[in-house]
Amino acid sequence: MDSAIEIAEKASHCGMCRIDFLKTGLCSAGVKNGFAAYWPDGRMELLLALSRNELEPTKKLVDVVKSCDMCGRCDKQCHFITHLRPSKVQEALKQFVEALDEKDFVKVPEDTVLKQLRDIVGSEWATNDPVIIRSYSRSIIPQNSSNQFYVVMPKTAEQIVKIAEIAKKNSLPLRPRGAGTFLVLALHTLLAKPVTIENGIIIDFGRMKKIEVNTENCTATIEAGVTAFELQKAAYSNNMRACVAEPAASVCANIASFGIISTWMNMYGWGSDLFIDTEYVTEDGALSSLNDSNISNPYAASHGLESLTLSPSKIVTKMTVKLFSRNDKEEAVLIPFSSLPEALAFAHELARKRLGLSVAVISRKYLSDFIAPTNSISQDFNYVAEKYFKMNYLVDIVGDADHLELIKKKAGVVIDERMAKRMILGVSKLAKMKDSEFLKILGEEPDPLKVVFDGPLREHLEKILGETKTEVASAFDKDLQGFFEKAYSKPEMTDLIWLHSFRILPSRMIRQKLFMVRGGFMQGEDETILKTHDLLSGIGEKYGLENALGFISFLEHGKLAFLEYDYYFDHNDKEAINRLNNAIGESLLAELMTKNVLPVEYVFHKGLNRKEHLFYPLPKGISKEDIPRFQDFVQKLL
Amino acid sequence: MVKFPSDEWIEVFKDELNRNADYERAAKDWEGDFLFVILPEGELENEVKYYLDLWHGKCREAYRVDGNKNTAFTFSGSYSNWKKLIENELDPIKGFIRGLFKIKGDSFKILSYVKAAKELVNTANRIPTEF
Repeated sequence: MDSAIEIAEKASHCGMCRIDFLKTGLCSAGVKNGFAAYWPDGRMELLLALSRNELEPTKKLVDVVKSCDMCGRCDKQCHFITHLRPSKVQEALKQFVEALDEKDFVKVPEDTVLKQLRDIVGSEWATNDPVIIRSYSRSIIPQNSSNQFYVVMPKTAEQIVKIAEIAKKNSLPLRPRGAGTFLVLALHTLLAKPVTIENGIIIDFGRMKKIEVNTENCTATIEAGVTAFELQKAAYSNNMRACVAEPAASVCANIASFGIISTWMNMYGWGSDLFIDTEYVTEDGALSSLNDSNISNPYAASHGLESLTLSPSKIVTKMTVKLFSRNDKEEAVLIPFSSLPEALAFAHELARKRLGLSVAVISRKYLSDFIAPTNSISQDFNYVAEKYFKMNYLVDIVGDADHLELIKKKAGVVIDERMAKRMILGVSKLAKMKDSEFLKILGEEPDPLKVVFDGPLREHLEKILGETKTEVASAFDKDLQGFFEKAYSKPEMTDLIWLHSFRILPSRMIRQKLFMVRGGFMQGEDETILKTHDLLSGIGEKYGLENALGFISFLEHGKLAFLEYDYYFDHNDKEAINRLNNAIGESLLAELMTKNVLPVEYVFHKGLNRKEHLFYPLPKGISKEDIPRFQDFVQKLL
Repeated sequence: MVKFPSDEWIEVFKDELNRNADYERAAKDWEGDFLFVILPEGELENEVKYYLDLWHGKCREAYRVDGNKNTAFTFSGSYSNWKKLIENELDPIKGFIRGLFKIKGDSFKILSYVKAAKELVNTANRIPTEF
């Protein structure tokens, strides 16, 4: 039981068990029953609540436990990303249920609101059962909340309109939940209160999964429950690409909340650049769309200190998003650098010259976490890369092969697709060489990056890394090694372009710890970008938080930039969360005081706005005299 | 003084290596034979090859080879670079990563035995060599 609880505590709820990225098929209980409780992440919340005596069992718990056929798909999916084994949690839940007597179960009466909700969506798709409610802990409902909630899974926008009417009539807050991937991070922080509701009706979009691809217009019309992975799969099967972010995130929610922050924004754009139309339910419960000529300017964005919006004003039910044609001659390349200014200057020039589709500066930690199958291999490779290769930053590019040729010539030292594939498969061999005599000698070379990736050593490095799948598979639990050997034999698992498009590997960033995104949009000047980077790094250090650059990418051909800087934290450590909260507050203020920087919080729930309205002009930076006003404002908000 | 490269030099090298306790320790698990190839340059008109059977910290056999011989590993470089190596002016691994010497065979294995490689060079350096 203890190890199961430990797994549940560690769980990051990245949602990767809800997308079929390993071609194992999905959790049949989750697909059939929809509610979070039937998926591996929801089961983890149930086990935690039961082990802490925070949840009284209902008969629904028995149904949840019985719905799992122990197929083990979740183990493969979760283990690939986080190294956890959700099936152990299910086993513990099963044991718990088997030990219960009939008298241990509490009954949950159907109240008027629930009856009305059930009349709309069908009896099985609306509930106030605490077992179901509790499974949404940490992904929309604050942990430990014992308040009255309803969770409803509508099938259509018209049903949502009716649900909104009921919420209004009963004075109940109403909150949509996409996949909850951002909320999982935010609910541990000072943002917990403003981003969620204390009671009321939660809409889970898990049944709204329709995707219609229009190849003539290069668009896809998607319902609110469609994940980035599902949309990308549909786009790919039509030789197109969608600009999406986290693979398990709901695309509609992601666009509406953050406008899609991605390395592809360099060419595909941000926010309203990415969609044609959006259908939504207003706060008043009316169904409308952005193409409706009777509405006021939907793209206008407010500016200023008080323009922070932490809750959505619309429930997005459907979107028609742009798809972008894929070129058969696309290539990917990583260009390693020792220093950030050098990497930034290189990437920025590409953006200005319109070379490359996805262009970003990424940190060494990003690369290590992505390619390494386990956390310890990631840490060892990160150490080797820093200490001996002097590889601290990489410019990460996907683009037309002809453009890539120019870029490679300019760069000199490159990690091409062939080498990257070998690094994915053989990273543990490099990690094992940590502090070896050979690496010590290599580290003494004036330009180890050139020696490793462009010198005589390159050919040997390729041979050392090899192409065998056994090495990478051996990092996983013994009983899963055979599966992973086959999984890594699939071309896409080592295909940089596919991995960039579907963004599978970034989910590994939360393998050891969750992280909070800092940074924001800013003027595309290297000085401003570097200043913001240093500022965020300094605050992370001050509060003793592991911190690293996520990525820097560009908009409008380098005129604007986006910088993601990540503060990592142990979500089970209250003291670490306090430090994180202080760091969030301080970094937000510091960014607000920096000229031409719009902190990421100020973009929240503005993804439907037009970027021209939001980023023009960028803030001039608040003065010291504005600080008390800022503090008052934040106090009220939280 | 022993002339390099010559039949005598490799015989002396073998004896010297078998007396080197540091090499024995560093290469105690090593299994694999080598071909050292000295490429012609300047006063060396023809390629010279030495065969070395290195096994668990000892050199079981070492001799000059005419023609081809299959070995697990080959370490080849120009005469002048061999000279620098023997005179301890060049680290064998640095020579390799800078492209002055080429390795054929399982380079991962060789790079795991850097100390042993250094002791091979230290051994050569102890031989009073005439070039």
